[in-house]
Amino acid sequence: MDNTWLLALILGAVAIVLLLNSLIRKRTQVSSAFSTMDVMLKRRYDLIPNLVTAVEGYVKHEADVLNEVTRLRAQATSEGLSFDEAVKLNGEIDSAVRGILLTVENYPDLKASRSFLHLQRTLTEVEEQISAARRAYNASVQDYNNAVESVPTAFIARVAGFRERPFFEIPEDERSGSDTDKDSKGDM
Amino acid sequence: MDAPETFDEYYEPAVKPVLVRYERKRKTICLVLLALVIVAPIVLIGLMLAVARLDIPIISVPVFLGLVAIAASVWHVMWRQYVSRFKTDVVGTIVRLHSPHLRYAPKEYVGKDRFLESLIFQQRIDRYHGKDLVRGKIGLTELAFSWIHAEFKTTKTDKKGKEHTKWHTIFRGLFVIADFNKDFKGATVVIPDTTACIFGSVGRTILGIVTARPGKLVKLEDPEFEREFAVYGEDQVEARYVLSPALMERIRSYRKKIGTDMHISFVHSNIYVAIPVNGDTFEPCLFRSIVNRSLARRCFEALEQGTGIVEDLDLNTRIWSKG
Repeated sequence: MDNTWLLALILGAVAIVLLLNSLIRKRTQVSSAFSTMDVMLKRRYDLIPNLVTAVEGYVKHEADVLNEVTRLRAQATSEGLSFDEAVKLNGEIDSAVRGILLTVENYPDLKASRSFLHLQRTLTEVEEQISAARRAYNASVQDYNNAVESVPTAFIARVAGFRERPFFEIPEDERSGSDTDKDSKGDM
Repeated sequence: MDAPETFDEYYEPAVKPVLVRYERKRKTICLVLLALVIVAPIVLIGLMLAVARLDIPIISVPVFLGLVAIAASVWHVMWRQYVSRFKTDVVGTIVRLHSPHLRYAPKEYVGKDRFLESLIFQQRIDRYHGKDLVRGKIGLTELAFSWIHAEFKTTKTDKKGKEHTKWHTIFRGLFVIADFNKDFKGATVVIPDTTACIFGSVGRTILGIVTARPGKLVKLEDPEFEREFAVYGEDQVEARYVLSPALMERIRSYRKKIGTDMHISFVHSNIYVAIPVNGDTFEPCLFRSIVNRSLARRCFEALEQGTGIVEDLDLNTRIWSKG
């Protein structure tokens, strides 16, 4: 009888360790996915000065648009931003960059210039990579949150202090499948 | 391009005259075969009777059989040459009319190294051959496809110590390679997800554990796509970069259009598609008239299957840094 209890105890301990390790792995996966997304976002921040430089000579009367994106970029690259602040800022940068690209539609010379075309392609590529990183991040968050909420890992999660993580909101037009490759098709 | 109308437009003026020319030759070859098959046995019987009853030397029988064997070999060469010229002329005409920038080579095929590069099929290949290579450019996309038959063998030794070799098909059908419109370094493989179709999420978990695929199972957000396909990728982010929501939708539509399961992979900025096909699409039949729309249409439809991925998967949209 004592041996049975001992065996049950050992098996229970092993199960707890396995489940705990699984939670740790999933949490690490979320952090790793967030870092990857961060790298992609930084690539976009690095492109913004190039975009502003390429466009400002042409769009003198619409300098507000350029100033806005420059301001947002400076905020996004500053230290100590919370997750929610980063999400909000990136949404605003998304809109600001799109606004600039829409403005460029009124300047055929700029639109046709080789350097601008190259920049536009690079931006499109970076946007898609950000989108992919976001999707990967959300998938890992979903996996982690499922583990935190499901029985029996939920009990271990509560005791060990694992909490649900928020998703990175995806803009409506990406969710509906009309992503940049459809939107930009007309430009090419 | 709206395929049926376009095909009908050029069948009458451009394809049918070539078929009529080859139909005459086919009839001649058919007659020669029938003559061999019908006349030779009659002559042989006559000769054997003559040997038995008259003073004809018995050696005339094996000599006659030897001549028949030579005639049969000559006939076989004649038929192979006919098939080769038929393919070059007829299929070549259909290919050129379909897309002027495509070239057809009946005896060439996608190399084994490119086949293995796709990472679609994991088995060792013991025998590999193919035919009917079509290559060229459609719009901005480089493309090549051919019919491929890849096999592996198993060997068993029976109680008497004799070895028996059995051949198993790994893949038989159309194998397509195209230059993808995005740059990426790793590999992502998309395979039909029959396990998950049958067993649901439990099946998917099992698939992730037991299948020896490159990388890890990638769980995507499109439930319809997930129901039909399982995705493996070396990099979770890159797999999602390649498989955008728009592309997933197009892959599903393309699968519905061709009406069969297919395997796809994305490796080093190329896309590979393996479409299983039974039978020989471009071969004429000896005993059936070739002046029929359905034979030419079959060629055309096979071409459409190979070239269709460019339009259906929108590979000509080049808005990323890869021009």
